[in-house]
Amino acid sequence: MNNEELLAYRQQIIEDAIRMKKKPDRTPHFANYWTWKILDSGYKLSEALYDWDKLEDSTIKFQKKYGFDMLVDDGVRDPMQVIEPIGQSSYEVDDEKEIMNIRDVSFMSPDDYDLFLKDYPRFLWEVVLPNKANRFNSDLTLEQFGEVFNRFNGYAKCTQNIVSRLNTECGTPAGMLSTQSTIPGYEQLFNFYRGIKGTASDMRRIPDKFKAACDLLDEMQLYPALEQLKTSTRRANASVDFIGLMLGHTILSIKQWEAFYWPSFKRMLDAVVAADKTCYIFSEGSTKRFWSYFKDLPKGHFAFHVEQDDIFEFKKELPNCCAVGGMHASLLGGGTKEQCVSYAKHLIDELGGEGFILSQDKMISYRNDTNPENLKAVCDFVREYR
Amino acid sequence: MIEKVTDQLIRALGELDETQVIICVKTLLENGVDRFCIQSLLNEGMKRVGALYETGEYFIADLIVSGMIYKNVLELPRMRYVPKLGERVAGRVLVGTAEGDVHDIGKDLLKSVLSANGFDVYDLGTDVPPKTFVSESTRLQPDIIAISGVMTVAVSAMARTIQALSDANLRDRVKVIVGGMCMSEELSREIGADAYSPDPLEGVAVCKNFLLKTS
Repeated sequence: MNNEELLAYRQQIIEDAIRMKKKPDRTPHFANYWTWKILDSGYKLSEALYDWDKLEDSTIKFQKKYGFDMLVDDGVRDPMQVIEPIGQSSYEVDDEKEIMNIRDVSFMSPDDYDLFLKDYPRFLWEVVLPNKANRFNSDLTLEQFGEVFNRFNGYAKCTQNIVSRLNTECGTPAGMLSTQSTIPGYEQLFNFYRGIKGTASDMRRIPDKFKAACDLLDEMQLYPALEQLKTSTRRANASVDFIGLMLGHTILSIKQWEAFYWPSFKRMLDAVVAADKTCYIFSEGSTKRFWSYFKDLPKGHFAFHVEQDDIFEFKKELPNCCAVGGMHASLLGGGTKEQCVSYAKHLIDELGGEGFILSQDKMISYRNDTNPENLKAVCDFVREYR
Repeated sequence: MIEKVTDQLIRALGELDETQVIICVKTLLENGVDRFCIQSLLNEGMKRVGALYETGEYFIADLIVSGMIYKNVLELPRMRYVPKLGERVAGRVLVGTAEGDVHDIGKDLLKSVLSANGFDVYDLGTDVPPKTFVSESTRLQPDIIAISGVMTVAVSAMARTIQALSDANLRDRVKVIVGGMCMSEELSREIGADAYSPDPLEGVAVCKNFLLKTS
């Protein structure tokens, strides 16, 4: 197959796995690999994270070496260098330990909800930006601020280059950040404004304001994106129509889920079904407490990443949904080639066919998360196994 | 009147009503109730939170808020208390997030519920190197070391910490419990921990069990 044919083939087996109408030619394999790609390609974390060319190179090298059917992360999740000229306070990179951490930071206080709800652009300018960018103050020069936009251009070009090269040089569809995607207001507050502790506190102490902020973000961003879904066609280089995230559910009680999360999330799922699209939900942690909410989803639209839960149990409880995952990071990191291949075979034999995409059960980020030889052996096996 | 306020305090903490908790604590302090008595009432309230967590009515966000309320009360001027070195409470626990990982929520939750259950807890913070666990274990002589982690990098750091404790001949004097999203029962055995806990409440039960066996 040439790369054009390979791209179409990969798109087709992913489509078949999610649509669940016919058995894919073979089980698709998603890469849940993040900063590990940089380390495996021989760069230090800071080298690649601060150099668009090296970041691009690390992603392409990774895909050429392992040959996945889709990279969940195209390599551009952590564009920390974009706002570096005006300061950033979330990321920490340690090249010696080969670790990148993202701190749980809140960029607003509970008192700021009033401005948030009254004048959102002013809130972003006066509250979020100064808190997020720690050099954003009166001493900031126009040149420094302009540099942010230059770097943003670099980021956009890097993303475009990666997607284009994945398509043309590797026959691989685009990943998460290059596919149509949006998240509910709750997820935005949880991930981008209040952090875990702030969100937990606000839901209890100021639930009305918190809910109003969720609703405002939904009105501004989620609902227009869902409206667009009705008429949009899948991006030519993508493998699914839509990507959703489930990250902030990990702290919610059922009552909070029903109050702050489920109404918007359901609206998103309903929109996917109404438009007859396919959707990959990248979900972290355990989702088991919420499976009953997904039981009635029509078959053939949704693929959920299964991280902490038992993937066999997921398939049993939700036969209407495609499961993505199964391969344990601990095995890839600490097992032998034979053990890894044998477990991959077991997963495909038990779950393969329609409704299963093999992937890793953790976001692989650190060197010891995977032994490259194990990964190569699994990838080679999956491509050949029917 | 005092009896009514004590009931209100326990109920308010169980319901995570921070305003009411603070009012009750201040009222009790003004009426001469000592801080140890108030802390034991808070601990009762925390047990109610724990019971609601067990039934599924509360989840992590609620535990985070209960920890915030508990901490805020203990930071009130007349509530502050630092156990003296050598003073034994239920048992002494060193808590910390494994090297390379800066997530503190699981660790902080465990710290709150351990304190609420009468443990003397020392918090080593996040990104704690194995050598710090060793040096602080030598200095503070804990009964238990609790290591938390979210990122997969924490697994190898936990293994290195347990090895470092062995190398320093401390391993037979201290129990090690590990937990957090990066961990599982199977992994905990592989790295040589004494126990694994999937959540803070089970962590407390494990710690109590350790001490029962020791005594």
